[in-house]
Amino acid sequence: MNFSEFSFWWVLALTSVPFFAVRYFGKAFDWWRNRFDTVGLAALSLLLFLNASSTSFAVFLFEILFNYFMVSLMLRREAEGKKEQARLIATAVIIFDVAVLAYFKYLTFFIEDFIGLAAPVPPNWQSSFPLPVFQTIPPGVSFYTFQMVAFVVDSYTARRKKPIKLLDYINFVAFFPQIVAGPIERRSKLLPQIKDFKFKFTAENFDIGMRWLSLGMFMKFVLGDNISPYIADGMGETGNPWLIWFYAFLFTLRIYFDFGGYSFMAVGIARIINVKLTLNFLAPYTSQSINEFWRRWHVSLSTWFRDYVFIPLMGKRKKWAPFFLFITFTLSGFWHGAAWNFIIWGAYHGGLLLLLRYAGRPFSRVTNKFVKKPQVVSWALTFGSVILGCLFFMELNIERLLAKLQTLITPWAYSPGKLGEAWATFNTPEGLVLGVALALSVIFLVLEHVAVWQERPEYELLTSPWMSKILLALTILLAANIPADFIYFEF
Amino acid sequence: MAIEPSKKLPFQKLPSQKLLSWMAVAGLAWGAGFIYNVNLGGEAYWLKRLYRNKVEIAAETTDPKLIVTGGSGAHYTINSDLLSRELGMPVVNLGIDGPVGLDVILPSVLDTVKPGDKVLLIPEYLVLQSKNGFGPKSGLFGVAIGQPGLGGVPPKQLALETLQLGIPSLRWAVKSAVDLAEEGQFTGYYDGPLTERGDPTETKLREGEWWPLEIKEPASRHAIARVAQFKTEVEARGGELIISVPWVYGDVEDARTLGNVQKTADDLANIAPTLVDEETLNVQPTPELFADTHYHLKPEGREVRSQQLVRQLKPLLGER
Repeated sequence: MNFSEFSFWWVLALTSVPFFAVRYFGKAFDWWRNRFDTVGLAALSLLLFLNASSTSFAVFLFEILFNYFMVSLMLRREAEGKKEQARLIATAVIIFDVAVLAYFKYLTFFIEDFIGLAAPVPPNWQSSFPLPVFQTIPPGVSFYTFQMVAFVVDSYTARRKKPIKLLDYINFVAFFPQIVAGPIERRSKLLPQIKDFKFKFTAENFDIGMRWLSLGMFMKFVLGDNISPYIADGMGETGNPWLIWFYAFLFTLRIYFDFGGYSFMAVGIARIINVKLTLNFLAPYTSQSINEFWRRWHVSLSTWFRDYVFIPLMGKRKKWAPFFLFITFTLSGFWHGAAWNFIIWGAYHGGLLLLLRYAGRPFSRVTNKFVKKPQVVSWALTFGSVILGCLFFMELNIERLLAKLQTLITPWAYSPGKLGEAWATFNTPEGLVLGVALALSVIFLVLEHVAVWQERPEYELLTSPWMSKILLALTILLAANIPADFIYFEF
Repeated sequence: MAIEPSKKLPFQKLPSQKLLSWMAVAGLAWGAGFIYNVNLGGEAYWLKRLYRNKVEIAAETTDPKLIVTGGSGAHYTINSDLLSRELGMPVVNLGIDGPVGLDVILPSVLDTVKPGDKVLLIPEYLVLQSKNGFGPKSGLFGVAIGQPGLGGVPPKQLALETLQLGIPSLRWAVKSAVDLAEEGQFTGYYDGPLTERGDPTETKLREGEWWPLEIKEPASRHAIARVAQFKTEVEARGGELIISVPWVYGDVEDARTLGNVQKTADDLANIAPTLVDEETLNVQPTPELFADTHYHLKPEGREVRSQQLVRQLKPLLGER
C-alpha cells in the first residue's frame, strides 16, 4: 500500500475503528470468535487494495483464487501419488503467473523495443492488438507475482504437504503492509504467522512497530522526499560531469531512503499487529564489496532470484556459475522495469560481481600493500560503483544516458569552471534546503556505519528508544509538504 | 535482526508508559508544528492574518460599501482608493487566496455583507473550474480562522489538511530560520501591510519566464450553482451581487481559451450582472501589466483595471 497517500491511512482508520470497537464488545460479551480476526484481516487487506487501485483489484482477486485452487489441486494430486500431474500443475501455474506479469509489464516493451529492433512496428499497433494494452502496471503485480510463484514452488517442494485454507492464503498473499512493494515473503516465514490469524496487540509490539515505523517515515518523508525534487530538476543535465555525478549521488540516496523507508514502514505496521516481516535492507551503503551490497540491498528480491532463478538455472553446472550469475542479475534488472536502462543496470551489477570474482583478490593484495585502511578504499569503490549504477537506473532516456556517460569519461569536462557552475546551481536558498537534507542523510548513514563497525544490528542505533522518538518528532516537523511517489511502485 | 527492545531498554517501562511516550512525542511535535503554522510564520498564519485584517477593515467601513472578493486574483488586481473615489462609495478589498476554494471563500465573506452593500466577485478560472468548489487550502483556511469545516469541506480533506497544519516541512523550517537570521522575523507571501481599504502595498515581480495562459475548461457546473446560491445569500442580507470575469495574461490566439472564457462569462451572466470587456474578454495579450502570476497586476495595471471596473460599474450603481 502507498503509505505516503493519506487515503491509505484514512481507509485504515475508517475500517479499523469500527472493526476493533465491535471486536472489543464481542470479546467483552463472549461472542467473538477467533475466525473473525482472520476474516477481518483478509477484508481489511482486500479493501485497502481496492482503495489503492479499483481497476487492478479484479485481476488481483482472480490471480489469488486461481493460484489457490491450482495449488490445492496440485497438493491433492501429490497426495494421490500423481507426481507428474502435480509437477505439470505447478509448472502451468508458474507460467500463468509470469505470463500475467509479462502481459501487464512487458508487452509494450516487447513489441516496440524488442520486435521493433528486427522489424518496423506501426505506431498505432495498440489499436489493432487483440488485447487491451496498459500504459501503467497494476500496483504490486511484480511483488505479489513473485510471492505467489515462490508459494507454488515451496508448496511443491515442501516435505509436509498440508492443505491450506483459502482465508490463510488470501492473508498470506494480500497482507496489506507488504502487498504492493514487498518484502517478498516466503511460505515458511509468513504463513505460520498468518495462519488462523489473530490480532495480538501488546505494548511491546506497539513499541517495536513504532520504532520501525518512525525509522521508515523519517527515511521516506524527511530524507527521500526532500531530496527527490532536486533530482527531477537535474535530469536534463548532460554536459557538466560534476552535476551528473551529484544528481546520480542524490538518486542513490533517494532510492534507498524511499524504498528502505517504505520497507521499514511495512515492517513497523506489521509488527504492531504481531507479524514479523523480513528486513529488506541492512544498511546497504556500508558495504565494502558488491557481493556484500547485494546481501544488504532488497534482501527479499535478491534471495528470491537466488533461490528461484539462479540455483534452478545453474543446476549441477557449477562451472558455469559466473555465467548464470550474470544472467540472473540481468533478469533482476529487467524485473525492475520494462526498459533497456534497467537491463543495462542489471548487467552492470552482474558484470561488477564477475569483476570482483576474478580481479578482487589481486586488487586487494595491491591495495593492502599501499593503503593503511584498505576497507575505506573498498567502501569508496563500492559506493562509487553503486552511484554509477544508479545513473543507469534513473535515466530512462537512452540517448541522454549515453550523452551523460560520454561526459563522464571525458577528462577535460571536469574543469574548474564546470565545478563553479555546479556550485552556483545550488548556491541558492533552495540549495540550503538540500544542504540540510543532505546533512541529515549523512548523519543517518554515519549511524548505520557506526552500528556496523561496532558489530551491532544495522539499525540498532536508529531504532533505539530515544532515537526513534527523535526521528518521529523530526518526521512530523520536517516531512516534505508534497510526498514524492514511491519509486518501487512503478515496478 | 529484528530488535527486541525489552532486552535493550535501560529500564523496564510499564506498557501504558510505552504507549503514552509515543503519543506524547507525536502530540508535542505536532502541536509545535501547529503553533508555528497557525500562529507564527507558516502559510496558514499569513492567510489567517490577511483574512482577519480584511474582515476588520470591512467591519470598520461605513455602509453601504462595495466589497470586492475572490482569490488573490481579486486581492492583487484592484486599486480600492481609485474605485472608491470614482464610484463615490467606500470600497473594501476582500480578495483572499484562490486555493482556499470558491465554496470556502464565499461563506467566509458573507458576514461582512450589510444591507445596501454591493459585492463584486472576481473569481480566478482555477477557482471556477473546480468540480467540488474546494482547493488545496480549503480545510487549512477554515481551521486557521477558527471555523473548521467552513463551506462543508469533506471530512477526509479536512482531516488531511488539519494533520498537515502540524507539519511545517523542512523547506519552511529552513526558510523561517533564514528569515529570522536575516530579517529578525518570519515572512510569507501575504506578509505585507494592507492599505486602509485592504489592498496590498507590496508588489512581487515574476522572476521566471512568462507564457500565455490557456483556459482549458469553462466554469464547472458546481461553481455556477454555488455562485447562484451566493447571490441568494447576498440578497438575503440586503446586498447585491455583481460578477466580473478576471483579467488574465492569456493566449489570445487560442480559440479554446476564448471559447471557455466566453462560456464562463455567459454562464455567470445568467446569475448576476457580469462585467467583461466584450472585445478582449479580459484576456490580455502581453504580460506588461502583470506582476508575478497570470492574474496579479502591477500597481499601474491595478489602476487600468480599476478604471475599467469604474466604467462598467457606474451604470449598475447609478451615478453618485
